[in-house]
Amino acid sequence: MKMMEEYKKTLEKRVSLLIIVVVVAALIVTTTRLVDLKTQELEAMLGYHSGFMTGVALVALIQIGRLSKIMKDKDMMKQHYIEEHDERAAYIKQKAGFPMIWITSTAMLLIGGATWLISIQVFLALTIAGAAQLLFALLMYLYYDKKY
Amino acid sequence: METKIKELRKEHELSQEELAFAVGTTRQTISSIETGKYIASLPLAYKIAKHFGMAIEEVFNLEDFEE
Repeated sequence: MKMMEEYKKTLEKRVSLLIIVVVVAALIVTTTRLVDLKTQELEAMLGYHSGFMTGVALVALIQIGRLSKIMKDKDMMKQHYIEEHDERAAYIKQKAGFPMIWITSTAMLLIGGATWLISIQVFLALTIAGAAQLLFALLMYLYYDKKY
Repeated sequence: METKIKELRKEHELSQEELAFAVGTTRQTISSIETGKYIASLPLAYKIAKHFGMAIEEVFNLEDFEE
């Protein structure tokens, strides 16, 4: 039971972090709307960042709703704990390259967005590589999920 | 790896889901262990064996690992 209480605290911390993500994303999106857009290139770059952050905020909001629902029901929380700590799932994720794929792909997408004004080629290379890496990892995950 | 989990489950009238919940794993993991696609870790093998009141070697066929 103590384990579940600790897990509930972990989930509460996650919700707090996600709320921070939503607030930061909302601030970025609002700021990009307030910037006086002088060039079409700048408008496109800010549009990309705004879209990216809106996506991040939406995913975070969905997660907040899901985690809040899980925390209210003890059985659901235990089931979620089991799913999260399942050794086979962890093995499959490890084989598919997670969590490093998440980290490097997110870094590629963020850095790619930041380099837009400096070099469009670097932006395209990083964005395509980041997205391709995520897609490849997802395919590997599906393959290993079927294999094991 | 061959196991007796399926037989033991039927003997104890347990579904994959019920056994999975009791030993702290998912139904998919129990299913994969039963079909021999996935080899359980030592702690999980111990939990499964303990759940049926048996020793690990009575539930899991360890002959493949013997030289």
